[in-house]
Amino acid sequence: MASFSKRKRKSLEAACAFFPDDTEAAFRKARSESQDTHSAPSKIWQKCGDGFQELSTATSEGSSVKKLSTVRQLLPSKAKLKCQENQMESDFSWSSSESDGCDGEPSSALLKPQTDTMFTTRNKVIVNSYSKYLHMMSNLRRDCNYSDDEFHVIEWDNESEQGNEKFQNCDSMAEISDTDSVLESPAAQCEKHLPCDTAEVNTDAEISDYSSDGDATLISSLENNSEMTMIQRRNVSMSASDWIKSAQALLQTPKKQGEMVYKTPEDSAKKKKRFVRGGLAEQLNRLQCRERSAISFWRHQYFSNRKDCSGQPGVLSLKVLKICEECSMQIALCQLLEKLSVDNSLLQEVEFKVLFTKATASLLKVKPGDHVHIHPPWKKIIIPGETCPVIINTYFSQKVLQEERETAVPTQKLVTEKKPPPPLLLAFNLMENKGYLFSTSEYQVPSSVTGSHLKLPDSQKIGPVCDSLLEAIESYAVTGSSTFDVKAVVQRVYILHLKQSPYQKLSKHSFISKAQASSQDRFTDRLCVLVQDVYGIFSEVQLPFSYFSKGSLLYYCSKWEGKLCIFNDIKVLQRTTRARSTGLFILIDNLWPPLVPLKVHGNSPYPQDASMTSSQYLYKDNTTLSAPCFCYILSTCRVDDAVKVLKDTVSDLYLPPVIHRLREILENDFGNRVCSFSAFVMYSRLQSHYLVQNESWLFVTDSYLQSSNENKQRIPKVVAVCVTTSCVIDAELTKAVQNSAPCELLFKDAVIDNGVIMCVERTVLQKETVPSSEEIKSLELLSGPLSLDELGSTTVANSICTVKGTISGVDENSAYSWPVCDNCGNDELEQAQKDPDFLFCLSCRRVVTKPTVRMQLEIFLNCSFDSQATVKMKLQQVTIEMLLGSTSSNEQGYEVEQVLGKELGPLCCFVHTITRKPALWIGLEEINI
Amino acid sequence: MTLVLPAVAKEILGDVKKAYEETSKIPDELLLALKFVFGPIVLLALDLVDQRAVTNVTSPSGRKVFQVLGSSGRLYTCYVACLYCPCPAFAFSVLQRNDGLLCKHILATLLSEAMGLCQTAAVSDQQMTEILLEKEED
Repeated sequence: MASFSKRKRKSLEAACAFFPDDTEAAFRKARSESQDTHSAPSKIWQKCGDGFQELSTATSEGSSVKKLSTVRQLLPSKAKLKCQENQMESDFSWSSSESDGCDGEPSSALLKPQTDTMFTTRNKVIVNSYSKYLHMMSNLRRDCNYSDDEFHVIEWDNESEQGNEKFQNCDSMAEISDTDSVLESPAAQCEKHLPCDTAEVNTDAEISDYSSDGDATLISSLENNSEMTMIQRRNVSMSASDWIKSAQALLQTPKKQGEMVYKTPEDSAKKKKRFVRGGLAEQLNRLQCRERSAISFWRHQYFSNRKDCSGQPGVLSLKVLKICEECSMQIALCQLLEKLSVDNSLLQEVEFKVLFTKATASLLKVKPGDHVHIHPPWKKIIIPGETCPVIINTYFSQKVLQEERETAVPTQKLVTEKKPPPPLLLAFNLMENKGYLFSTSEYQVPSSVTGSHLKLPDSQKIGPVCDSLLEAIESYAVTGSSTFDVKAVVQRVYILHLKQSPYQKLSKHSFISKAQASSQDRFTDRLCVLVQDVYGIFSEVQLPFSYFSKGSLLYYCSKWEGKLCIFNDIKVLQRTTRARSTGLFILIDNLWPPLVPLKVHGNSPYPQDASMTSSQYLYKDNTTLSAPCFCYILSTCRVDDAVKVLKDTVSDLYLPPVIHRLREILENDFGNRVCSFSAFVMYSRLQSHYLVQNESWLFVTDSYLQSSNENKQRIPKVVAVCVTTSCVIDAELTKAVQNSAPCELLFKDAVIDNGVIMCVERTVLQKETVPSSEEIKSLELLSGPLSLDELGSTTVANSICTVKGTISGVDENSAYSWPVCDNCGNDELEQAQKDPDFLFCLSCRRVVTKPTVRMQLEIFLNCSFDSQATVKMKLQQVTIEMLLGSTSSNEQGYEVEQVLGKELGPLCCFVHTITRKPALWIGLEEINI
Repeated sequence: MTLVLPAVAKEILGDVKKAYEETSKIPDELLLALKFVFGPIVLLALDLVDQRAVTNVTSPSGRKVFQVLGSSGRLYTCYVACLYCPCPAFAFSVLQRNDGLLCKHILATLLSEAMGLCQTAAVSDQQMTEILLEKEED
């Protein structure tokens, strides 16, 4: 309120002090202005100009400093003036809005005071303050001898107003001011430069805008002393008229607004967004800002002075031949006009396709036949397969106005051909030209896609095939083809005991039905190969069942192992990791690191002829390479011919199993690694492992163990090898092991787990077909009686040994005998119906006249190594007969006492149980070796 | 005249890929070229790239799609060989108005792929089916 009233007083000061008699006329004038506003501005401005003309004279005649200071408020440099001091400008500002031709609102504001006569005078003062202000300006000269009394009049007037009136007055003022701010958009532009937020200040800014051209001299002259006035007077009179002109010129604000449209379109899309620090978006944002201001600046320059830039270096001077539109982008086929303007070496072509963004196009409005200058930095792009290059970044484009051009070109309506939308098919598939994807760059389209593969002769089939498993798999995923071909070295061939389903699904839900499915699952044996490519990547390829009909595992081992092969029609079953497939990775670890340099992905093709001269693409030191952490499980769609041996020579990449001596394996800590060895199986406890979920045991030895010195402790003469159910041993081998012991076997890639040699899923047991000369020697050595360790306190369970001792007791509960058929060994015998003295065999369907008596006897032995130990031993028939044969028998059986105290042994036995607490208890079973 | 814009776009994306492979950076000139061709969406797409919002999803069957985590937190599935995105901008700007070649999600996918900045994820075939069929998560 206070500020308002103060402002009011000021206004009245100005209004009433100088033009007490003017108010009436001025109000009338204002009303007429509201009806005929178009004539008003020019008059006002002329008057204003007169005022300035007179003003300088007044100054020269010694006007008061006070008056000058009032005028000085109009200075642009006085923008920092306080609001209250700007009251006069406020009135001025409102009136000046009329000069913009916006008369609607002010007139309504004018009508308002008329409704209430009480405020008429006051409103008149406000409404007409502009014209009064002009009068004031003109009177600056005239009223050089103004009196203080006139100021008193103001004071009186001011004091006479009542609070309520004041308030009303302020309201109407505010209204007017509001109107101001709405109507005077150009002035509003300058608003931010001023400290005051009231609308009056806008006017000040506006005035400063107008006066800034030529009035600096005028205004500054007002501040100077009278000595300068004569010169200034001339200057002022000239500048004032100039000022009117410039003001009138600049009042054409729409043009100025029009230029704003040309701002780059990003303005609207710009968001106050924070980008990742140091990221690409930040980089582009920075560039965009720079570019945008460069474009605005350039356009400003261009529109202010349309000069001909054709001679400038780097400017493309083009003639538009044809225009079409693609996705809001204009594409103009242009012809180069002036070759010399650009570097000739850069532009050999004559025709170009120039892209214009929507904004540039709307600005240029080019049509065929137009001449266009494109300023740098434009960018040329050559598209393979296209004759003319494409020019982009054409922000700095300029249409050349050609007055001299023949006007024969008809002013036809500009119709731009609009191209259909580009297809949604990915036209710029980056994979297309992915040079590194197929390092051999001769990747063959999988035969399943072309369909022509099967017809080709074998020699042609072995064409260039991807040598990288990963790339083949990747491309297979990308291209969506069903299979791929790849070449790799076969490291191992083995049989896996797999479920009928080719692979376990990774689905979350698969485990739910796992329990119930496992009982129904049918296991099948699949021939598998572990392959490695030249990049060192491993994969396991599962081959179809049909392979078994052609040959045994041994056959395939000798055919493929170590050879570089091509695998046809391969598909990916699963990607597995260390955690998922421990067994597979134990084997892979054993083959790592490779002994030959590996190729690095993404570099030049692998030297085909193995002359690794370009070794910069190869890992020189494989020991620094980390072991693979994943492996793809692959399968083939081919029933046969899935694997083709490319080279019959063994590859350098192949790491054959290192055959160790059993003793080395036992003495050295192999950790959780694989080992291979050759040994004689002395005794086997093989289970039919498909049915019984127990592991089998093989007891093996070799000549070194057999001949080892007794004194050397901890090295047994016979080693137990556990054969897990996952290890597949074919029937032939099982038969050989069981029947013709000792038979020599090669154990490939067995695992040592906690000191126990285990045959697991990828261990291959193979009968040694041709024993080496060394082994022949050992065979001779083994032809004598095999030596076993004696049962002792250190004997462990699941071992075989010899035992010697005296019989200390008989387990009477387990001692019994029963008759069996002497022909078939069947114990299902019935009393013959015809002759009750004889038995009838149900399986042979005949009367058994002389049944064989089978006996079972378990005895307790007293052994020399520990008299306290309980040693229970199940005897074989032969031993029982031998024991009992020396004693007399009666109808009831044998006397226990006759057996006790007898010396027994040495006998070969299998230790099935050892309990050390509370006392040593050993369970033995006599075996035949 | 055949369509020029897709060819230009491909060329520039190829350059981006090459430049990024060689220097792990994109020169200013290329960024501005990208902006010229694709318009204001480049900035947004690059922001998505910076945020590693694009995931390359693969399944054992060999199918592959891209999932882009939009600024709204929604996942958009884009495809390897097809310019399609379920976002509203694509529907409006590309399909309806034919103003642009693609939306920011597809561009982010292409750029991430070109620069090798895609995250990777392996899903089961079942999950891939759900993604491809755009099954809404309950």
